Amino acid sequence: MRYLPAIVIGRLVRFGVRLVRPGGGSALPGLVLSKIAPGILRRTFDRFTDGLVVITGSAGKSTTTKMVVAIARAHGLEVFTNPTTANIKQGFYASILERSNLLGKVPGQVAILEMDEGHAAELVAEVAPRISTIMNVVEDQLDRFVDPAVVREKLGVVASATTEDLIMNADDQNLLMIAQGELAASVHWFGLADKKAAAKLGYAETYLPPLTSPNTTSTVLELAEKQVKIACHGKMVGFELPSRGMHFAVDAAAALETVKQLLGDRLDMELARKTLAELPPVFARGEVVEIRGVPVEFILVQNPISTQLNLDNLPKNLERIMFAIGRDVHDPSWLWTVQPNNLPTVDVVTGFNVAEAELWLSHHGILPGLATDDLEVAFDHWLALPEPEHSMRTVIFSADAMRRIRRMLGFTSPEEVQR
Amino acid sequence: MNQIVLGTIAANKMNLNGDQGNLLALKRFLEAAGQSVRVVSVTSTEEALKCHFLLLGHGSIAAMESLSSSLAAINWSSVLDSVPGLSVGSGTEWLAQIAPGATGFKRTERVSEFKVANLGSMPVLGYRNSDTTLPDLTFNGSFICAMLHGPVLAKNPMLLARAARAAATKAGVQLDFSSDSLKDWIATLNRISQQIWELEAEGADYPALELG
Repeated sequence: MRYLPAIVIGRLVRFGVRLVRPGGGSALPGLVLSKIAPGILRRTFDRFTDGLVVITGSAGKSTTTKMVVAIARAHGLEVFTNPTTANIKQGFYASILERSNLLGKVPGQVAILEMDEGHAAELVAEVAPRISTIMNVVEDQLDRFVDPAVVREKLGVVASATTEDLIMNADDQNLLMIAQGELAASVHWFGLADKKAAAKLGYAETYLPPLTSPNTTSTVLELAEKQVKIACHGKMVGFELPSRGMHFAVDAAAALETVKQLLGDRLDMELARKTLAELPPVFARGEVVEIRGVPVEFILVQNPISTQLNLDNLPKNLERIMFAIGRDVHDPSWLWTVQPNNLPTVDVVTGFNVAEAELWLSHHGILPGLATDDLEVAFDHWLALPEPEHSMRTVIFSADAMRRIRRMLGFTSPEEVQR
Repeated sequence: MNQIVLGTIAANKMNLNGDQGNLLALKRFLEAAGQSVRVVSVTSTEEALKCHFLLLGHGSIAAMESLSSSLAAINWSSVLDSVPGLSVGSGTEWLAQIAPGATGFKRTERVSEFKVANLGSMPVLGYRNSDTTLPDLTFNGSFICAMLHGPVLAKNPMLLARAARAAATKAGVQLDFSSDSLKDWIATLNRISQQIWELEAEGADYPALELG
């Protein structure tokens, strides 16, 4: 009964927010709940019999979390998780509001949570994860983190707080440095067999003599187009990834290692393979949607390396491209670290930071046909352009631009993604 | 025709906030003014002194530690005396510690925001993300030292033109400010940069670059 008033107030706030912004608004109700019932977070996570699984790091945590949750659910586990848009503290409170009964009780055996790398250290001080999966450290959100060393330090706190199993990327020297610290958990590694390919994934350089890469128990052996082969604890798994790119293969290896540690001998590798093969992309990671009868691919870019990798993985002869950089990119300077050599053209550039994007593109000889901060004008103009002859229409956008475009198009649920 | 040589030190390590974009902006501007431009990597005092403009970008903590001995090997006194250049972020911090007469700097509360600073009478927009007491913009010999990181030249055509003139003078060439290609490029830069100023400069007037 202790949390009944807080849950009621939180839900009223959420109802009010959704009246104003259909499909949006988890932050404010979560913030309200965190203020009036801060203890509910710890109490909720303490109740899960299989504990708390945290998936964090700079890049790939959304896709990996979705994969781990899907495989765990396929094995019959009742999972509490958070939407990818709610991976900071108030997001967890918002997820509790969403899933709890009026008394604040959330059903489930295990909590599998995607955690923002900046907030994870703060949260694990309240609730220690049983399993943590740390994806990588890349140069990201420097206006917030300043330096990759700061991110490594925060992830080190998560590693130290983990009680049983710590799963990390063997190809990231930052994580090898973390493994040299005092850890209570057993460390398990995932990674690529092809170390040259691993070097192209953009993990932040430590500029120190390289530490020897440990043996991996989940290893990406091969990727051809979207077909991936992964060895997981001696068993071979092959399937089609939901999205293009080696970084998604790494996410799959991380997910398989995580479920292996979560489920132990209960892991049915064929069921895991089937689950991954049928998984839709995390929204906007290669998601294809139909807009006004026309298929459109959405590609989310969040930081220098994800932008570079996604641009490098664009199909040849791409036409009809819209590029949108929103308000979430506080300092768009990082665009200038990206080489858009594989971006043949941009028809329309838009978003809050349209001018910053246009300035960067112009210096690379890419002159957009239209530059406007009005998303609706941009979208209408772009859809009115002649149909592409050799490719699908493609929108490349930052998270804020993605949310606004999805809302504008009436896609109000982040789970509405089809393979 | 003399070729203008733009030098950069450890471009791959000193580009944390897209700082190497400053050379791209300078190269593009000089080419629009009819100049042939070459960008070279600089590892020694001799190479630095052959440049007509030199960039010292911003690197991560790890990058700066790895570069400390190679940066220390350069005779900065000679370079700052004679080569026009731009330092950014940790590059500026480095110069503030080793330059002749340098008094160093102190750590203070971090500022992470867009700012309009002044270089003499010239207003300059950029993003400061620093916990040092170093000024946003200052001169150190022939160098413009910025704590406004990223592609500060690209967003500030007046500063860009100043850097271009300095590089041209050092190279002994005359920029053709009457060329249509330069006029077009400046018009493009002014149009886009003005929008960025309207968004981030908190009411400060955009200082358009006007030739003539």
